[in-house]
Amino acid sequence: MTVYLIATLTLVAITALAGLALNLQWGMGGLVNFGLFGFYMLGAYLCGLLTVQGVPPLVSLVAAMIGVALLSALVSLISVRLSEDYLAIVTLGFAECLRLFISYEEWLTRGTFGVAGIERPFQGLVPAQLSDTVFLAFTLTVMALVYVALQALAGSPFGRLVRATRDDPAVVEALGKSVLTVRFKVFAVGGAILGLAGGLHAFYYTYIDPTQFGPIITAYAFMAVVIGGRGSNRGVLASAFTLILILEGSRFLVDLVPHLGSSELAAIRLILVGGGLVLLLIVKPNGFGKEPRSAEAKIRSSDMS
Amino acid sequence: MSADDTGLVLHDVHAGYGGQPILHGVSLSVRKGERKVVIGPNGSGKSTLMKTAVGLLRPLSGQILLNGRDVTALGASERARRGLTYVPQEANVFRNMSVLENLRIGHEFIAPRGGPSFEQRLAEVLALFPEIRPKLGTMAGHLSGGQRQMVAMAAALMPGPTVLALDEPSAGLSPRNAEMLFGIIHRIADSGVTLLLIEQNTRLGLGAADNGVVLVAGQVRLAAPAADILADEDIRRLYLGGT
Amino acid sequence: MPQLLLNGVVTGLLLSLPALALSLSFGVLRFANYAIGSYLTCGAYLVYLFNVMFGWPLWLAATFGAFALAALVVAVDWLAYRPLRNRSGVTLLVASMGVAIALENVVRLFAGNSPRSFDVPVARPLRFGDLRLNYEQLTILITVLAALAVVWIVFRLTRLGRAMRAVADNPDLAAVRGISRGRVVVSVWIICGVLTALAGVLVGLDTNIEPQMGWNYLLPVFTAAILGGIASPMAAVAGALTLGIAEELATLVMPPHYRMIVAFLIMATLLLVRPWGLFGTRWVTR
Repeated sequence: MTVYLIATLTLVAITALAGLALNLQWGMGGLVNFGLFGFYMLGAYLCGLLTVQGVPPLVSLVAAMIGVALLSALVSLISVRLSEDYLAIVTLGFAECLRLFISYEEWLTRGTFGVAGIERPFQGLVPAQLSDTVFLAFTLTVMALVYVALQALAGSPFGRLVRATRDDPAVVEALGKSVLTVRFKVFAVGGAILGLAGGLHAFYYTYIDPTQFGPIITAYAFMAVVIGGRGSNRGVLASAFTLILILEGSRFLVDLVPHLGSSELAAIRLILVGGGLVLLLIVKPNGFGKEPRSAEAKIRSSDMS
Repeated sequence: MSADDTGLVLHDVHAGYGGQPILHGVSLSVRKGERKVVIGPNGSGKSTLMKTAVGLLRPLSGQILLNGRDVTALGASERARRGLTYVPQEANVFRNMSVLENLRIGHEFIAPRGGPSFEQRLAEVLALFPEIRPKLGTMAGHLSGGQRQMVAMAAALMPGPTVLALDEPSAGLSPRNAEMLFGIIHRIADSGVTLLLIEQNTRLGLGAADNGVVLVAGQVRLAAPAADILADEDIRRLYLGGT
Repeated sequence: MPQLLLNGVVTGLLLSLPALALSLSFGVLRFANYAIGSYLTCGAYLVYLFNVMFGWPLWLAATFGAFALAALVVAVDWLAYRPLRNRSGVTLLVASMGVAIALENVVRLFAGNSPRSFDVPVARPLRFGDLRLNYEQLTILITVLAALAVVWIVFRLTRLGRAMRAVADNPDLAAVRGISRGRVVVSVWIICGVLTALAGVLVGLDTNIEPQMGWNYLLPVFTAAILGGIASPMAAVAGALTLGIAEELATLVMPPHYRMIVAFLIMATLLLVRPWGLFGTRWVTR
């Protein structure tokens, strides 16, 4: 049982990181990242490929963060002047293209064979039986650090600026700040966190291949942010933990229930996530958490002008 | 007031956006064949009043009657089909459709079955607005402001409404065009259409109406014959801040 | 080269149905419907149900499948999108993604992951000189052209078409001119369902029926719609044709499995340089 618990907790922590990243990009910044899994996957591959080449794991991790941050920034530039609708399809398209590229360019990424033997940080220092536990501790520490950093950011003037850009870009421009720069930065920082999450994924499994990455990750992250309340980091953490604990934990139910194969269960889980997302948006659009400042009542006028 | 007499009645209407009321208990009635103008300073709620009357905004409380029937719960398209058409101040034509299509749309979703055909009404309405006849094939968005205003009004007239609501018809028009447009408005009213209009230009507005209503801060401050309001300097100064 | 162009035209025509559907729904409802890929998948599987499991000929199965999907699409709107009608476009965007994930996995749950095919007689390709046109391509050509003709007629010449254009242009004005928005919305979704189901059948004929089929089309469909100018439905067809031809021509320099990258590059370039599309006119905005 403990083995299952450690495994699930580690996955939950990694997904929570992805949720925090999306909370920054979408929750606070209003930037819809439908290609989230692509950046996550990129982080995993950058980290994994570098480590396998002999680069020290922690260095690879940082490199992955920087790499994904840069690429996020570039991708966001494509549609940064346009409305959020466009960013959604650009990121989605980017993720799909990246998945294709990784699958086919075997000389670089080993394609569908995957990258095996990824060394974890501190691997030499820790006895094999404790490896998973130590890694869990490492992941939780990283997650806690990111959480603290994001909370600080949320409360800072920059955080207020980001929220203002989401709610009232015209006002921000009128005050002389560049909306484009803010969006660009937000997407990049979010990208760095996604790269971090992806890298941790690579370390955890010690083996990565393209089939591990898909819109599932995007769906979980959106679910976490919607449940937790857009903009609330604490809410995201709490929801990520409860939600994913339930969902991933149910994976182990497969052993107990005879009729349900693992692929059926996977499909059911995703139906619940998709449907749950819609339901939550209808019923509890502000989630269960609270944004650091009071939300403003948006006056919707049926205006003809 | 018998059911036949009433054109449009608002009874103790509170309305606003996002739960914030802008109209505080407004009551007014426009009898059949009457011409009524609502005037008042900027921000007094004239636009909100119009939107509530035509059905674009649901009132927070109160009642709206059209030709004797309670239409409070009905939306704009249903009120239109019961004889109330509207010319908004801005965005009052379908810019990506031709003038002819605009007029056709004005007619085909509202006009009663068995009534005059589209071609018939088109001829009658173009007689009022001859200037747009050569522009029938043009995209409405490419017309000048004054021409768009005419198309908008023509489209609202196509189905032969019993009540016509006009939102600041003179807005954005040169003084000459505004006078011309009001000439047409007089003729429309003469043909028996009940008229409710809001106007910033009090002279033109009061000149076109039988009765006027002064709206200030979401409340009716005065209801009197238009001529009296026009003549009374004090009223103009008190409620309208000059002009 | 001419064969490439022919292939490109056929590919483009195939794409034009969902691109048109997307543009239509965007124009009238003002949000980008990411569930459209899953509609395509559901359409294909519904037709598969009638064709292979019930044993009906394909044309009959497709007809029933189209209406079944239309009903599903209207139901989705009623359950998921209507309650969110007054919210921001972004909320609807995310909701549509939720719908997409749910629908695709309902298909996965009931049908599993393995690819399937329609039950159609095998036919020899047609030859016109140097050009080769196989049975699937011919079907695509005829079906799409017929569908487009019908849509064009409805859009330009009928009362419903005027109502849709009016609501897309100015929803409040449409209301005061007596147009019932609810009816227009339902009509748009029905058309969307029928077009997307047809596209699903055509994709299934052209390749395979599998749960991911619709998702894989999201990028090309959006690119085609954006090329055409997102709110201009008929121009979406031109956008789709352009993309189809571009994808085929790209096989001269790129391996065919990288089609998506072509679509992505075109879209990225377009958004940077000419966001209102190649064929859309700058929408006359307020």
